[in-house]
Amino acid sequence: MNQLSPRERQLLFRYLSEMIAVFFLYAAVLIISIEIANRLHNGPVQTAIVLTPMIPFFLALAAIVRHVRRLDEYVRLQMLENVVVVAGVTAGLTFTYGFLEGVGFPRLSMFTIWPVMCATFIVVGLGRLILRR
Amino acid sequence: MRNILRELRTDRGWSQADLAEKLSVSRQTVNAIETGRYDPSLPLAIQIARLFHKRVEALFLADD
Repeated sequence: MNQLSPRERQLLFRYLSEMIAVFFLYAAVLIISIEIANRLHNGPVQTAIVLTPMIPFFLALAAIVRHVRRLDEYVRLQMLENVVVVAGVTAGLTFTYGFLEGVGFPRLSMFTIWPVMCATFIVVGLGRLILRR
Repeated sequence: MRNILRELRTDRGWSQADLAEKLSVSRQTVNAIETGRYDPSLPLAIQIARLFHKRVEALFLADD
């Protein structure tokens, strides 16, 4: 963190501020939507209500895009290379497990892909950082 | 490509962080350029050349 320039610290602070604000909005919308959806019968209205947390999700996506656009060219290139590798590894892992499900392994929720991708992002990011040194 | 960025920077007594700040890039970008791991875009190369009052081709040299 102390290796960051004032500009980098400013960018990081701005990004984290936006993401924290969106996270609290997401948590609030999620809790309220579950509360409301539980009181409704199955149908289009309930479906629409359970999907409302995706609104703050897209706000988070917009914050990520803004952050990437504010990064300088080298850091952006490194990040995009990481994302390409992470996408490939995540596709490989989920595909592999898909084949295993075909022979009796327990069926997992689609929600599983997200933590797998996050974990891969951390491993790939750290791995490339170590290899660069 | 090779470059003489490190020599020019140290001649002025600037740290990588100082140069990064002047160019509005990250310290790791300066480091990557100095160590030859990254060739900057033309706009950034021109920005660096202007900062050191040099021509781009005096700063960045082809390997052959």
